Amino acid sequence: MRYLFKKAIIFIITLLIISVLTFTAFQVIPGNSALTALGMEATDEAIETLKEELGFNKNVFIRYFDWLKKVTKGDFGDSIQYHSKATDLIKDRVVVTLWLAIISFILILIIALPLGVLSALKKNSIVDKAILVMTQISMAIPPFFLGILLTILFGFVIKIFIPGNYISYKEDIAGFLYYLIFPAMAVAIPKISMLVKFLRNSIIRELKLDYVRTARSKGNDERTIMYKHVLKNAFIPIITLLGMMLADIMAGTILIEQVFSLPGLGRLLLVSISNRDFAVVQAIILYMALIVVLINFIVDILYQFLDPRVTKI
Amino acid sequence: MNIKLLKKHKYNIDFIIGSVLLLFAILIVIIGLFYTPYDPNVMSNELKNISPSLLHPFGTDNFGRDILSRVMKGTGTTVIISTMIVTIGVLFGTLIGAITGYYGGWLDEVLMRMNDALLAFPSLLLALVFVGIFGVGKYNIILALGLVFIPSFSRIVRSEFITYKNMDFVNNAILLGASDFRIMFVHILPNTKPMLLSAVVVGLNNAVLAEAGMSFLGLGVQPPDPSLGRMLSEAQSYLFNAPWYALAPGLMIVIIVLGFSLISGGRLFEK
Amino acid sequence: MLKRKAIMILLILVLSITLYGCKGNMKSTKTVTIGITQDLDSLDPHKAVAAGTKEVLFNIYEGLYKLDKNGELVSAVAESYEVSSDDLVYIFNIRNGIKFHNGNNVTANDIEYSIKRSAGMLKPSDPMIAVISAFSVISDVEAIGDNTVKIVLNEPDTEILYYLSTCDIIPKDYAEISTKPIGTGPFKFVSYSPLESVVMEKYNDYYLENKQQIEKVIFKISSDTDSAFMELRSGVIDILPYLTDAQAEQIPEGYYVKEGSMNLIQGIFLNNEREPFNDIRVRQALSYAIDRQKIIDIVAGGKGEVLGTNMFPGFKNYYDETLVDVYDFNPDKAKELLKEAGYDNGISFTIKVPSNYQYHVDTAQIVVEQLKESGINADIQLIEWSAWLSEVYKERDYQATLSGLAAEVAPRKALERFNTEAGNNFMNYKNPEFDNLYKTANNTNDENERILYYKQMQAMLTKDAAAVYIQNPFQITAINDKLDGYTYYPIYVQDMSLIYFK
Repeated sequence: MRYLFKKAIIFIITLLIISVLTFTAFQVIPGNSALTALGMEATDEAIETLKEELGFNKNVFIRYFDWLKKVTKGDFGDSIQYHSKATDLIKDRVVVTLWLAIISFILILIIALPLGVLSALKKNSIVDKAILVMTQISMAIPPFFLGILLTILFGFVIKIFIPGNYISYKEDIAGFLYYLIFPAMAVAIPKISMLVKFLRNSIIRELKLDYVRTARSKGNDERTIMYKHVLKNAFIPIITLLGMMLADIMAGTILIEQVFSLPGLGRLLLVSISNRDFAVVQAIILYMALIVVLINFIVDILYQFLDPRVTKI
Repeated sequence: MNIKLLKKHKYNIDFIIGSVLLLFAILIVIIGLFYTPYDPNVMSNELKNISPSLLHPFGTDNFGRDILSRVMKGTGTTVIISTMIVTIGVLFGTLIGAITGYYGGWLDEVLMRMNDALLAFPSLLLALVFVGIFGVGKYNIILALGLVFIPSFSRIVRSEFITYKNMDFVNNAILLGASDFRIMFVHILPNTKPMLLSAVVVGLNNAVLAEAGMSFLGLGVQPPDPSLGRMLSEAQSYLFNAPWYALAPGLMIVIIVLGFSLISGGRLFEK
Repeated sequence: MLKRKAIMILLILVLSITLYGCKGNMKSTKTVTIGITQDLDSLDPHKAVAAGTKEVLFNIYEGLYKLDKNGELVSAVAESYEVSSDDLVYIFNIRNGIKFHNGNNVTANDIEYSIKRSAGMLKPSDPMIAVISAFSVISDVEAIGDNTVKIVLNEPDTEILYYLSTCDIIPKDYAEISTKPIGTGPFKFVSYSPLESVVMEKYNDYYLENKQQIEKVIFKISSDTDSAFMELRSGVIDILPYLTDAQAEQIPEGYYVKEGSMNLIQGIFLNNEREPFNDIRVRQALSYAIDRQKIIDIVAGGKGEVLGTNMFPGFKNYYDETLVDVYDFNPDKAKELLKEAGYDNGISFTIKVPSNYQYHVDTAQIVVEQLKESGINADIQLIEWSAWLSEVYKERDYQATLSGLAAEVAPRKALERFNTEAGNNFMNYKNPEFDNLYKTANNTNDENERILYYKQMQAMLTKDAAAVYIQNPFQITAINDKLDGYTYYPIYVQDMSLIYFK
C-alpha cells in the first residue's frame, strides 16, 4: 500500500514536470496563437483583445496555476483552432493512435522474438548474418521514407492496400484495423531490428554465464536450459527495452500518422504545435506522457518480479 | 578446437567488412572536403532529373544538381552531426546512468523522473524549444538533439549498473578498498560495453534519422547545403519520376549504419 | 516450438490480410472527393482566416454578392442594390424567397447581424472573429422591413461591394455556426471530422437550378501534398489542386491535368528599413540580379508568369503587365549599383522562408544560386509559418523574406499594404507620393480613372523596388477523367457546384 502510494506521488510529480516543460516551451518558441488564429489581416488591437481574453497578458506563473487549477477539474481548456474542448478533440483521435501503437507492438513481438532467438541459436551462421543485414538495413531507412516505400509496395505493386481509403472506427472497425496494419508496419520495422539485436546479444551473453555450464555439466538437455533458464534471464533486460520501445512507438506514430494521413493524436499534435494551439498541445503531451509513465511503472514492477537480484536492494 | 578458430575467423570477417564500409564512408567524406565532380550547388534547367549516366553516376536532382557531388558533401555533414549528437548522448547518459544505477536512492529517483518526463516529451517540441533558444543552424541542432538523446542512454546504462552492482567481482573490488569511482568506471563500465555498443549503433542510426527529420522541418541543415537525411526527404516527392534520387543518399546511410553495427557486432565476440 | 507457433500466427495474419484486401473500394458514383492539405481553421465563416479554409467554405456560404470566375461581382443573397447620390447609403434588396439550409427564410435581420458581426459592431463582440478591416467605413447597418437592408458609410468607398462579398450571411444568433454551419450556398454541410474530412451534399432549394450538380462532395484532408498525391494515385481522390510540376508529370492513368493562374504574388520581400535594403540602389541591384524566367523554368518547368509589380494578375484591368520588363537579368548592372551604394565587395544577407511551403523553399535555393553571380551572398533560414507571422509579418524583424501574397477580393488589397501607416506594411515601405495617390484613387468613382491611378502606384512600387517580384505560379489541378467543369477563379476558391459527371 505504501509502495503504491509512493509510486502514485512520483507519478504525479513526473506529469507536473512535463506540464511545466510544455508551458515553458510555449514561452520560448516564437509565434503566438492569437496571431495565428486571427490571420494576416488582423489589426494589432484585435490581437491584443484576443490575447487579453485568452489570458496571455497575465504573469506566467499565474497562468500556469490557473491552468493547473482547471486541469484538476478535468478541464484542459479550449482549442483555439478548432473552437472546441481540447479533451473532446483528443477523445476521437486517441483511438486511432492507441490502436496503431497496439498493432505495431504486436507486429514487433511476433516478428522480433522468433528472429532474435533464431539469430542467437544459429550465431554466426548464414541465417544469423542474413537477419543482421536485413534488420540493419531496414533500421537505416528513415521512418517517413519507409512509410512511403510500404505505401508503394502494398498500394501499387501488391495492391492489397488503398492509400487514403481510411475508414473511421465508428463506421467499420474491421476496415479500420485493416487499414492500420500498413502504417503499423512502418512503425514496427525499425523497432523489430532493434529488438532482434538486443535479444540476440542478451541470449548470447546469458549462454556464456557459469550457470549454463553448470546446468550442462549436470546433464540437463539443451532445450530445458534454453527455455527454463537462458530465455527467462535474457528477457529481463529486454523488458526495460520494451518499455522504452513503447515510448518510442508513441513517438513513432507521430511521424507515421503524418505520412499516412491518419487522423490520430500525433498529427493533431503537429498541427497544434504549428498553430501554437497551447491547450491541445498540453493535453496531448500529458496524455502521451501518462501512457508512457504508466508503462514504465508496469515495467518497474515486472522487473522486480522477474529479477530477484533487484528486489534484494 | 577447430570450431573456435572458425568463430574467431568469422568475427574477423565481420570486423573487416564493417571497417571497409566505414573507411569507405570516411574516404568519401575526406575527398568531399577537397574535391567533388561538380559544384554541389550549381543548378541547371537542362539537366533536371537526369537518370544515372557516365557523366552523372547517380543522376541529377530536381534542380539539375549532381547527386554524387551532393552526397559527397552531405555525407560529411551527416557524419559529423550524428557522431557529435551520439557523443553528447553517450557521455552524459553514461554519467547519469552510472551514478543513478550505482547509488540508487533519492538522486536516482529525481533524475529518473526527469528522465521519464523527457522521454515522454515529444522530441520535436523539445527540438523546437532548443532552436527557439539557440537559433536555427547546423551546429545548434547538434546541441538540441544531443540533449534529446541523453535519457535513453542513461536508462540503458542504469539498468546495466543495477544488474552488475551486486555481482561478486564488484563485491571483491569493494573488499579490496576500491573507490566508488573506480568500481563504477573501471570495474562495471567495461561490462556494459556490449549493451552500450548496441545502443550506440542504434543511437547513431537514430541520429542520422533525427537530423533528417529536423532538416525536413527546416530546423537542421539549411538549404541549399546538402545532408543525407535532407536529400532523402526531398527525394520522396520524386519517387515516381526520378527514383534514383533516393538511391545514393539511401545507400550512404545504409553503409554508415551497417559499417558501425558490423564493427560493434564483431567486437562483441572478442570477450 | 516457438518458431512453429510464430510461423502459424504469421500465416493466419497474412491470410486474413489478403482476404480482407480483396474487399475492394466501395464508393457511391454520385460522390466527388477533392483533396486538401490543410485542416480548416474554423467552420464559422467570420472566424476562418486561412485561404485553405475559405476556398472550402465558399461552397456553403454566400455574401450579398459574390465573385465569379472572371473576378466580377454577381448577385447572391441580395438581388439588387441602390446607392445614394453621395455614395454613402446603400440599400440592398434580398433575393426573393431565398432560404437558409435549415429551411428558414433569409431576413434582413440575418444580414444586419452578419455584417455587424464581421465588422466587430456587435456588443459584446467575440474576440475570435476576424474583423474585416475595410468595414471600418461602415457607420450603420439597419434592417428595413423583412427584405431590405440599409448600410451607411462614413466616407465613400468605391470597393465596398467587393468587401461585402467576403462577409458571408449566416442566421442571426445561431449559436452552433462553428459546429453545424448553415448558409445559403449550393452545398449544405453534412459533417466535419478534424484531420479527416468535410462532407457536403447538394442543397436542393438553391436559387440557381443546376441539374448537373453533384450530389455529394468530400473534402479529404491529407497531411501533405506527397501523401495526397499517393491517395490520388490510388483512386481515392478525384480532384487534387495545387500540384507541383513534378507531380503533374507523374499523373496516373484516368486523370487529366488543368492549369490556371494561382493569383499569388511570389517575391523576395525586403525590409526597406534594414541595412542593406534601406538603400534603393541595393534593392534595384537585387532586382537586376535574378533571372525570373529561369527560376520559373527550374522550379516549375516554365509553368508560371513573370511578375513585375505588386498586383494580382487576375484583375486584368488593373494589372500593368508592361512593368515586367523594367528589370532584366543583368549581373553587371547589379554590381554597378551595389558599388554606387558603397558596397564594393557585394553584400550578404539572410532570407527567411516559411518552411511549410516547399515551393518557396525551392525558389529560394535557386535565388541564392543566381545572386552569387552578382557578388551577393544570401543565406536561407527556414522558419515555421507561425514564427513567420510573428517575426516577419508583425514584428518586421527580418532583412528579406521569400514568400507569397495570396490574391484577395479587391484589387486595392494588393496596394493597401504599401501605405506608410498601414498595419500590414511589413516591408516598411515609405513613400508620401504613394500615400497621396492611394487616397486620391480611393475617392475616385470613375473606374477608368481609378485604374490609371492604380497603374501609377504599381509603377512606383516597381521603380522603388520595394520588393523583388518574381512570379505568379500556375495552379495545376489533377482531375478524374469522369469529371469536368473545374473552374479557375481570380481568388482562392474550389467551386464544386460547377463540377459535373461527363
